Amino acid sequence: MADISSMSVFVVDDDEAFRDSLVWLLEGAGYHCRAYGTAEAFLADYDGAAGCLLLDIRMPGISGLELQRELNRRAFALPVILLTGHGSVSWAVQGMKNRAVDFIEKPFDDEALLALVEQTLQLADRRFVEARAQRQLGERWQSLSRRERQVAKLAVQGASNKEIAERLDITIKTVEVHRSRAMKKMACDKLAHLVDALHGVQS
Amino acid sequence: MAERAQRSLGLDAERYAFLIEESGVVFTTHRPGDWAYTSVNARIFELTGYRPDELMEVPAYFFFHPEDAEAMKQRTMPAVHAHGTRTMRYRLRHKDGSYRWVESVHRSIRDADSGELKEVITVSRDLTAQREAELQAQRLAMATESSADLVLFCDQNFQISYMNGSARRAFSQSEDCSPSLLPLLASHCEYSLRTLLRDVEHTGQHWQGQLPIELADRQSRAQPIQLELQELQRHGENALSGEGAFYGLIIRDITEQRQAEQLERERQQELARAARLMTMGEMATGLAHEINQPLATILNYSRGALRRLDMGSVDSSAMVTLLQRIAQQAQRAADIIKRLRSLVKKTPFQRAQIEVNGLSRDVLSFMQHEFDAAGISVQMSLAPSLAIIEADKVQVEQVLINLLRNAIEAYRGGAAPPGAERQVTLYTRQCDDAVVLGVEDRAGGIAPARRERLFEPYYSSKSTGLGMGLPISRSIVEAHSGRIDVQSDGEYYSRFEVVLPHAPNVLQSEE
Repeated sequence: MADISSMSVFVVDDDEAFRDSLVWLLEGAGYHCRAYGTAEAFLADYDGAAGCLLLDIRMPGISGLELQRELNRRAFALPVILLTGHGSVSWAVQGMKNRAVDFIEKPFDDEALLALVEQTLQLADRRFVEARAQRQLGERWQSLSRRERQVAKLAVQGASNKEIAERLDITIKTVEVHRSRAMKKMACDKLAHLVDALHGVQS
Repeated sequence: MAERAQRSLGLDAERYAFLIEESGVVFTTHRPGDWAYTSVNARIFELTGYRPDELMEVPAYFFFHPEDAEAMKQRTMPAVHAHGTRTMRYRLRHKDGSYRWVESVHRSIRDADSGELKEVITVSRDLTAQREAELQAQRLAMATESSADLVLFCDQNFQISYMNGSARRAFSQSEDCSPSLLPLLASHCEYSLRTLLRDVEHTGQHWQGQLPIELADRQSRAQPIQLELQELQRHGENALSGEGAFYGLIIRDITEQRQAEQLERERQQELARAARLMTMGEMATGLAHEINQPLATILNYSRGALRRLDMGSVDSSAMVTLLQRIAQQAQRAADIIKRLRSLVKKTPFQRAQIEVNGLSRDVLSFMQHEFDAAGISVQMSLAPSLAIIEADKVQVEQVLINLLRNAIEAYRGGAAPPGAERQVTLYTRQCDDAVVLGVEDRAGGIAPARRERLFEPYYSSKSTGLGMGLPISRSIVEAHSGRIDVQSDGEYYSRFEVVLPHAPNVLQSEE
């Protein structure tokens, strides 16, 4: 597990005074903060570092919801807490559909916010670990040759070497070689592990 | 001798025939008894449409109006027989079937010796034109009498000679009364009336205008009425009748008109207020959002400060900065409340000098959340230098809110072309002697047929809303001597421009 205190709390809000006060509150509680006035500025600067994002849902230019979609599209693991104003329930609903961790309505209680930030950073920690694993898995899968992938896919579907050889019109011996290489490259010693790994790749 | 007498008689007959034929009157002779025509002159054709030969031996009463024929037989004929002359007015049927009013003088001719009735000579003239004029005068008198306007005639000393029904009612006078006008009016009316009368007498011209007239007993009336002198005309002396000059006055009771105007003004203000309240509800959301920002900021600063004080990690100079920031935010919240209050206040029409760019920014700051919520981006394109206008600020704000809200609604209609930018532009422009405040959307435009109906009350393309936004906006703008222009290509954009004339020669530059 990574150290939570080494993670950053990112703040994106167009209201400068509010942004400043939020950073003041978070820094007072010992968090490391990085604040941005627009979604564009954040996107330009963010390099995938671990942490969580406090995101104002309503902003000129790229809105909070659009930024969320962009983060999802780029497959960032960064968990998002939405900051909502009064009467933006429908926005919050949309935000939650975009896989926000939670939302908190302005003005908020500092205890509630800090507790939420703490929880979210712990979640972020898990997510970033998973994301690393996932990324590793992806890289391994990419290292397989076309034939090795074909063999691996058929193997996890339960096909025997003989069936695979017939399907791909190659010899059983060749199937065995591809299969053993695929297992090795995917860092799996059992077929069950390969099943899990491929499942992870496909999701 | 006999020859001379004979010649003299022939001359008389010739002169007689000439007179008969050339005189302007209709000359006929009749046989006693059946009153048949025995001779007629050529003029008879104009009166009856018959040629002389068509009338010979036809009884005259055959052409009389049935009612008049009876009177003729019963009274005139016996009277002519008995007394020699008689004048009668009656209706004579023309060949075309119409009746003409005719006046005839009948004279009986008797044999000098025997006294026997030999013939009746009749001289007639057509009274139709005269009769028409009389009827016309009667109708005019009736119209005057029953007119809703107060009509009265008086001499130069305001002694009234005639009042119509409306005048008698307004002045509470009985029918046979002809008082002096001045005691009926409030004393301050005398001077202006006398001045006016003198002017009219002097110039001999017909005066038309609006001169308020107040009744002397105005205070004691249950329902005070408002009068206005509208016409004063001098009618000159009549040399024939010996009458002096007299004056005709037409006075209008404008009580109802004034009440209607007052009602209309109140209704307009009430409508504008209703529209404001309508938007008020929607604006409450905007207010809550706007005011949340400074409140949340204050809360963050103060809670953060408490936390640091607890931990002893804050010095007094940091606290000063912090408290200043908190004060700023409290001020910001107060300003928001103040702006909202000015939008809602029930104020009568108030003209003030307005800076349209500032007004645009204020309104947009309130509406920003509505645009955000609808996923529409707003651009402001304000003229760098714009004249100050004189207008009612609240009302102009109301108009702008309506237009901006319509622009948002336009995108809800689903008429926007696919892939169109969801964008609204709020712009200002200096245009000769007016300031233009415009709102443009790209939500698909407005078809020409719909454009014509936009300003009709209760015409709305939305499922919600009263359809009163644009009519109210237009009456507000027109009350400012301005107008609202609508431009659209019918498929892409719509532009609503409020054109407001500005106070002359005042220019202000944008900071």
